[in-house]
Amino acid sequence: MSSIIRGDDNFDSTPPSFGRVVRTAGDVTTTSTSLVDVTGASITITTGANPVAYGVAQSSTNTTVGSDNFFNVDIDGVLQHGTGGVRYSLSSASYGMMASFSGMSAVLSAGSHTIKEKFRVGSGTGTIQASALISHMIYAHEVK
Amino acid sequence: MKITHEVLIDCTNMTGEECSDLCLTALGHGENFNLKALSPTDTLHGSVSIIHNDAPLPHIFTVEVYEEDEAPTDLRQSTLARPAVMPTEQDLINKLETLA
Repeated sequence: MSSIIRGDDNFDSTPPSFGRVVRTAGDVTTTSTSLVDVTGASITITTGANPVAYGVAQSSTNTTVGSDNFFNVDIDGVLQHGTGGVRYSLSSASYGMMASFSGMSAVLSAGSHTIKEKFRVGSGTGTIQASALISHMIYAHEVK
Repeated sequence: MKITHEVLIDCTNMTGEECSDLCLTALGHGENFNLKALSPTDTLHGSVSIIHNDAPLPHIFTVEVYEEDEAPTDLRQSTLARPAVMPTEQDLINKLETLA
């Protein structure tokens, strides 16, 4: 797992801040029907008064055919994809399917911001896969 | 009540879902202490989230047990309920340790 943090000023002459976490080990499972943090899938960057674009690249499974996994991104405590989140309905039990998504925040205040992934299930056990074969990535970059 | 506890276990010969089910069994998952919904409208008493790190790193377990009843919402069809017998944090830790 690595985290890259760069940039600490607000001047447009500087490169935009960005961060990236790639998880290559440690599947994450949950049985929670309320959003929980995806431990390790968190980035803190310092930006100017600009939006942040982000993305999550991942494969996900659920033990129950037809069950839903819901994903969201939290920036400084504000959910970016509604209170429900991005919904993935799993058509096969325990079969990894692409559950990637992306988005962009509104303009943030200048300063440090924490961007983290959350997820939950409708039922069953949900998994975000993380291995050398199927990595799990979250990234964010300042837009300016 | 939410606890986080680390246990060094090897689940390389099973899926994360199977490992999660072993954890549920160890915690006493059942009708009176339901930690996993079989359908979206089930009544749940808690949940388990796990980071399945490979050895030598430990698995990281987060166990939440609901202390108050909560009706379904627009977002969540399940009902959350306080179990009739509320475990202590040490109860949960002791049960997780049986997985080592």
